[in-house]
Amino acid sequence: MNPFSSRASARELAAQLEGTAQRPPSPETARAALLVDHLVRAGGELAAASAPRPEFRDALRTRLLAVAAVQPPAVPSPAVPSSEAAPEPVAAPAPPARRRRARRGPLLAGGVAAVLAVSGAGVATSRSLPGDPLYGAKRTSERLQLRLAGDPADQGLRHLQLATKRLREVEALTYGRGHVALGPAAAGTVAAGAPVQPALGALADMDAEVRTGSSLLVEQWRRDGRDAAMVAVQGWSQTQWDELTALVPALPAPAGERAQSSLDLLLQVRDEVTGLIR
Amino acid sequence: MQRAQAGDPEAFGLLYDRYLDQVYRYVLYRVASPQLAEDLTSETFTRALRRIGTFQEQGRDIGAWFVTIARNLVADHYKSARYRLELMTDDVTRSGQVPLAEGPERQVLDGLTNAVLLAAVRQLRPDQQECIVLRFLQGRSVAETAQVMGRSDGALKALQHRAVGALGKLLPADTEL
Repeated sequence: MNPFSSRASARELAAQLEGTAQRPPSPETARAALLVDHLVRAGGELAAASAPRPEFRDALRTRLLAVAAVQPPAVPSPAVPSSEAAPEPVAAPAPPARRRRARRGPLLAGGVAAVLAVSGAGVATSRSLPGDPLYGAKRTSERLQLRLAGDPADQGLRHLQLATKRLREVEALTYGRGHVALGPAAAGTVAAGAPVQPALGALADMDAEVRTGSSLLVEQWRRDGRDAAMVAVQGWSQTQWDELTALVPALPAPAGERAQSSLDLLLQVRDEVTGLIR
Repeated sequence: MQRAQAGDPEAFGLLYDRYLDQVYRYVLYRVASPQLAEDLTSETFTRALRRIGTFQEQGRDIGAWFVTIARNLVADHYKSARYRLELMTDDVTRSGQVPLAEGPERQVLDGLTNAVLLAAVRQLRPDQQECIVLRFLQGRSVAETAQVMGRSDGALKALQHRAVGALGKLLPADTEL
């Protein structure tokens, strides 16, 4: 290929597309411009039909605003060009003024609680359950998501979301797979021969997420003193407790007994954060 | 922008409202799976929120910055173990390879030309594919596309020429434009 010819053709196409061409296009450029015209039209038609789902839009917005409310204000770094590869801020800034805290409080209380209530919506990569062949891949994906989480508050929120996801898995193991997308309100017939070991594992994993998530958020509270996060965790732990309590009678015996310690843990978390709220 | 950098959640929410669709569609066109597009879009805005303090306007478009983050995440995805795993599992039929074959997008692809066109776009080299998506499917200017892709305007014009040429060769010989 002749590089001069190629460069000239590229310029000719660009000029044609920008409407600055001085001469009629060559047949090749005319065909290319026609193809571009099809692409632009396809883009317009697709744009109307490929918008994000409203549930996803709302859930992500709520989560982002909740994270924004608990993370320290961004520190502009003049030395760093605004590329995406810019490094994380090294040190957290001093606690913000009380005025900011007052402004963020109500937002966070509602926001985080809402996030935790819709936990799992829109971010699940798989509906596989404990014991399924792909369940390991699902958990690996979750760990990757956790690594992408930013500050401890964001990580804490995600751990609590995962705790709710584990609860949904126990529900699905108990009531049947179709329950995954429906939530506890749709509780119905107990699945025949509901597996015990996977449910026990999911409960243990749920407890681990509860411990890690609540610890991270409490640590964050000790750093910034914002009560709103504690109010949110208080509400979340109560909701989680209510839902697990409703599930216990349907669990096979060993899992039902195991769930008691999970319920105790949730009460312990709720009481701890309640004691921190001023 | 300044309010978002100062830590005002609602200000970031306004940026999100304005740019979510652009970012989501960019990712969807690249990965072809609505579920994965949601995951990567979610990570894009989470990462943007975390790094908003590093963004300097100076004539730069914040939308292009969001798309740059999304672009890097898409690139990471294709290098990831998760992607390789998807290729090896049945999930691929649901989340990896047959984009736009189901759901509302199907309706607008019923015209054969669009379906054929998009299938051909996905066979292009990644940089050519990206150029076509940003420049023509999303309607960005040469300068904006060049900024996102980290190229000069001249290099971008050369790339768009090659991409359109390659696309033309991928279309069935009897395609009427």
